[in-house]
Amino acid sequence: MGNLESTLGLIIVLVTVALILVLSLKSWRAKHPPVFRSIPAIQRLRRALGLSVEEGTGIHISIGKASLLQPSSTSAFVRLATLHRLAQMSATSDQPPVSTSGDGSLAVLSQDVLIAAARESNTLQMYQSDHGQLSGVTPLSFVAGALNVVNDPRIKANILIGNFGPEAGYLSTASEQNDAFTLAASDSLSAQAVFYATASEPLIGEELYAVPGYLQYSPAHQSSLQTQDILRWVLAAAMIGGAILKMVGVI
Amino acid sequence: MSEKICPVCNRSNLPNAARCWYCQSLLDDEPVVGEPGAGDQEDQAAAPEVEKEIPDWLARIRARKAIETMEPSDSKPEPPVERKVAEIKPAAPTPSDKPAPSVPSGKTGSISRRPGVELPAWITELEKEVKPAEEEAESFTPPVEKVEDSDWMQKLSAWQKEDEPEEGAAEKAQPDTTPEWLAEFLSNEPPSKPEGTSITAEEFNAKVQTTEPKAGDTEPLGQLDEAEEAMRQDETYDFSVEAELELKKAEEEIPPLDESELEAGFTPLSVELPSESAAPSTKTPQEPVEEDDLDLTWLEEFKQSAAKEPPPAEEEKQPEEESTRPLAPFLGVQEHDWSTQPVVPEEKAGETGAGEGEASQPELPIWMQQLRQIESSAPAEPVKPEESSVTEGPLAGIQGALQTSELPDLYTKPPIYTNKIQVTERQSIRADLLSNIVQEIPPDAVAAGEKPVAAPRSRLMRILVGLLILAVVFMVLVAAPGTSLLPVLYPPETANAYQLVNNLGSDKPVLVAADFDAGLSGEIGFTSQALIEHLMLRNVPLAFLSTNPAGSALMSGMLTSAQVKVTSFDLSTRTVQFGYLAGGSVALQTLASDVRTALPYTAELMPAWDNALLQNVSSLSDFGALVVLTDDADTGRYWVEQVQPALGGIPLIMVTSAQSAPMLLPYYESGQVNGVVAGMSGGSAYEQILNLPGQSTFYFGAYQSLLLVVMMLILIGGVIALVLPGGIRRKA
Amino acid sequence: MKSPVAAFVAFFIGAIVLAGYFIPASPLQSIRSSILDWTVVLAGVAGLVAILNLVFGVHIKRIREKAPRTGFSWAVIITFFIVFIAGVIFGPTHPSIQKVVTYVQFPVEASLMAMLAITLAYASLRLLQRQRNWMGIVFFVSTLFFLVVNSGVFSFSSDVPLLRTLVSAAHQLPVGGARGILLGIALGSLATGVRILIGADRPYNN
Repeated sequence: MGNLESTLGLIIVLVTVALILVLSLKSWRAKHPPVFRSIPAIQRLRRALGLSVEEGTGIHISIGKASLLQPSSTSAFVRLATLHRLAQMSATSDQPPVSTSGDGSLAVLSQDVLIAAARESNTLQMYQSDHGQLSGVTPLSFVAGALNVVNDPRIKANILIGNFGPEAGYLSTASEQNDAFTLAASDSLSAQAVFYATASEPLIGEELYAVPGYLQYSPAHQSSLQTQDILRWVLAAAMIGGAILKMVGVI
Repeated sequence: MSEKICPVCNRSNLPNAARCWYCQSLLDDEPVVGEPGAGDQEDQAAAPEVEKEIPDWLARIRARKAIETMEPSDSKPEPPVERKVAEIKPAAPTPSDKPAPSVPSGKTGSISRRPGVELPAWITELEKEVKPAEEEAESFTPPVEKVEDSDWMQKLSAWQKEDEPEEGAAEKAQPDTTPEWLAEFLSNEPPSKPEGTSITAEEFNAKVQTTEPKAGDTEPLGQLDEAEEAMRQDETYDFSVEAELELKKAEEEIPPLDESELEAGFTPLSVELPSESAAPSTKTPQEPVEEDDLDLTWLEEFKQSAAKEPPPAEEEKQPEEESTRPLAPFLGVQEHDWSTQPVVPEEKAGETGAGEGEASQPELPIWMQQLRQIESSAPAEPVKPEESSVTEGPLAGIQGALQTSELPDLYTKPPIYTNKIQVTERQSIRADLLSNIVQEIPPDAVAAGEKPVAAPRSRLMRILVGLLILAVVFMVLVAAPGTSLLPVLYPPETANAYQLVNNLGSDKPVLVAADFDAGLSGEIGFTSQALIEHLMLRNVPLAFLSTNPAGSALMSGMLTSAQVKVTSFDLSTRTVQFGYLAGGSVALQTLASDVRTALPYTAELMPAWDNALLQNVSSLSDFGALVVLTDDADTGRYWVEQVQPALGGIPLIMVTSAQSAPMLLPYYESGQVNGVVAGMSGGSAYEQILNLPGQSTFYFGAYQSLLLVVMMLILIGGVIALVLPGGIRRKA
Repeated sequence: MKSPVAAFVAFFIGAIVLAGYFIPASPLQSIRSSILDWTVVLAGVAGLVAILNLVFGVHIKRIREKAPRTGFSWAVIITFFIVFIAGVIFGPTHPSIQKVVTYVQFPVEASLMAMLAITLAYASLRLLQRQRNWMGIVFFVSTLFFLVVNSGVFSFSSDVPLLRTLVSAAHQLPVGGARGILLGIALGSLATGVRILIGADRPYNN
């Protein structure tokens, strides 16, 4: 990596750290409360969770196949935060949430998250070892194993959030056939296209990273959303400016 | 807000409270704070001890209230008192009468006035003195002033003197007349008592010894039992009478008073008070026992009368009045109107005699007076109203003995508590309603354990689409194999890839990374076949690795199938299998930094870098090229981001599936990737360039046909969806 | 473990790796490499633990609880132990082990992929029923357009300059859109990684 790239990268990281810290301050949040655009899919997710709790049905959360060793592992942390928050929100349900994943380390972390959520809500006795399971080590075997959970008649809400491939169309299609609520989000473009055609509530682009913030998991998530918005504007301005300068002939 | 004052602990309670919140004692008949008259009377009758406790401003307020309520209340109570006096019927001590009801100890009652029953003299006197209330009030002296000791002693002596005449007077008094003692209470005239009078021991003894019951009084002490028994035989027997009798008995038992004891403040149990005539009887107001054993109406009247009298001048009359007042046990529902009748609280026996030798008797606090009432009323044994004594058997005549003949009536079977839920009718009705509502709810269509069945129409459509797709593929392959619309111009990225491979030498190995899954290995196999065959034809040494466990096995299969066409290439001597590289993109970083550390062994666990093909390789840049076979755009991106900077100028060629080509082409356009073979179209183009037809060309026609068929299906479905109303109803 | 020690360790290790990425100093590089090697080992062990949980915690539990269709669970358990034992004994490059991949895993997953094509084709038929909005219509039109373009129907476009330009421009459209989405995802990844680094988000600290 060249010096310029290293320096630029380090500057961007430090700026991001500063923005997140500043925007997380209570005084700042009190003066400038975060305002985000409404995402109807997440609103319907809340309602679906409430209905699921009332009906006593289960919730299935699939957090994808990406490993923590890959660059897409950041979406893995978002998935885990979402899993934690959804487990908290569905703590009063008779059926504890079930999580499926396609990676070993992710499966272990998901079990830890579910146990923590159960402990927080004093429902540890309801947790079982198959609630956070590795359904398959390859993408298609992971989908095939998760299909077993999706087709469970006790599951009435499927939240597919993570790194998927086009094979995730099986999950969303099966969920729709079972008349279950389906919210699907992925950081993969092919999966987003498949979800848009097959799921009732797809999330496009970086809305995957906005789910914990919209579920009000913590102030840090909301401040990171604001940081992303700021950086997006900065990046857009830099791209437009660079294109103009290129056209002009400066660079 | 009016509050009730507890008589025991003297704490304020809610006006509607029945029991004290603090000590759980009954609050009935207690004066309510805030009611006109009741509190005033209590305040005026408060002793100096209470005055010390009560703030001055409160005492002034109470006194002012007492003064205000005194005058109008004088005329008021007469009618109710007369009415209530009329109800009083003394018990007739005749054997023919029914036994008087037993009264528990400490209870006040009233003597029912019945014909033939002689009322105590003090009662009759009270009746006479009701009307001239004002005059009597002036001459009223508190019994405390007369006697240095307790008031109950005065009362006792008053009873002894006035019993007989009062009974006679009671006979004469009709139901409309007020008893004398009661009238005296109602009036403001305290019993006359010279100030400064204190009784000596001799006088006390004389009084005790020489006390003769008046006409109409209760029987002499010797005949007390008979009278007591007669009274008890009366149905309306009041335990207050019982208390009186008990007192008389106690008087008999009291030894003569010693001067030393008197000087020391000993309070004799009974003292003959000089103001007997004027003092109201200390007997309780006459009320039927069966109405309420806790009748304290007379007490209310005492307090009201005490509150009405002028404080400085009339305090002296209080002891006298109290002396003749009937014994007032503590609790009871008062039928009398306390607010209209003066009530003089009794002093506690023995307390005032301790330090009061002066003529002026200070006002006792209300609680003390009430306590004296309690103490003055001798607690009777808990004899039942129906039977006060045994009438037959060896225990006949003994009071308080258990009635063995009536034991079965006394003791009942203990209640049996069951575990049954006590459901009221209303609750059962509501439960039935709820069960009916629940039963009306139709059962869920998807029962537990049952899989939801897809709509038949949807399943049929899916089957039809599948059959159509298969039919198209088979039809093209069977009817027109190899027929396809080939592009005229080759894609530049494919052409570039071909050029790069064509320029490779046979001295440097090429690192081939198989980073694809088994699902898309078919397409990757079709796409990469021509490139691998081209490498084999160039006799370029190949080093294979995979970042997923199945990739190396799949790569071996592809090499085997490629060798079928290029038989000159020896897989055993011209290839090195590194096997599975664990770690994902982290391993790629390690690979980029130090390839020998990242890949120390071959798939056969042999030292990799001892192989002749790799002896001159120490870093990635020592390879001839890097060829990445991937079906995932992210994987290709990782190779570009992590490994490409460390290649050192060697070409990076990517063989991808059609779905990830759009994401990787920008890398080609930016120069980070030197060649791309994307999908079956790229593979077929490469085969055309190589002039070596392969599977890509063979299946490309079917692929094109399938694309068109799917496009038609989507178009038809979209048009139908736009034309038909409504859509898929969202859940939630 | 819910303690500040876990957060401190995470921050410290993350800072070292990040600094080693941006600052090419040799001590940091060696430490970073070691830490990454440990990470790979941990990931492998976690994968093994998860697989054992799948076998014993899921399928054996289903058999023990007599859940419906336990035959598939038996198949999973038996095949797992057979392949695992054979792989340990013979090695992963043994032809027998490779045949398991070549003749079992490959056909199964390839068949699933083929069925996926049918499933997606059917789902595409009902696209406008599900997404009846402007975005859905644009998606529908673009799907049709690129299906036609990639089918090779316009292969003759190279002879027609205008058509060639249009087709070439059409090929660039999805690239631009994909870039925008990927940039947004990259920013999200950056923010998430920073959040993990500063300890604001601790999925491990439960």
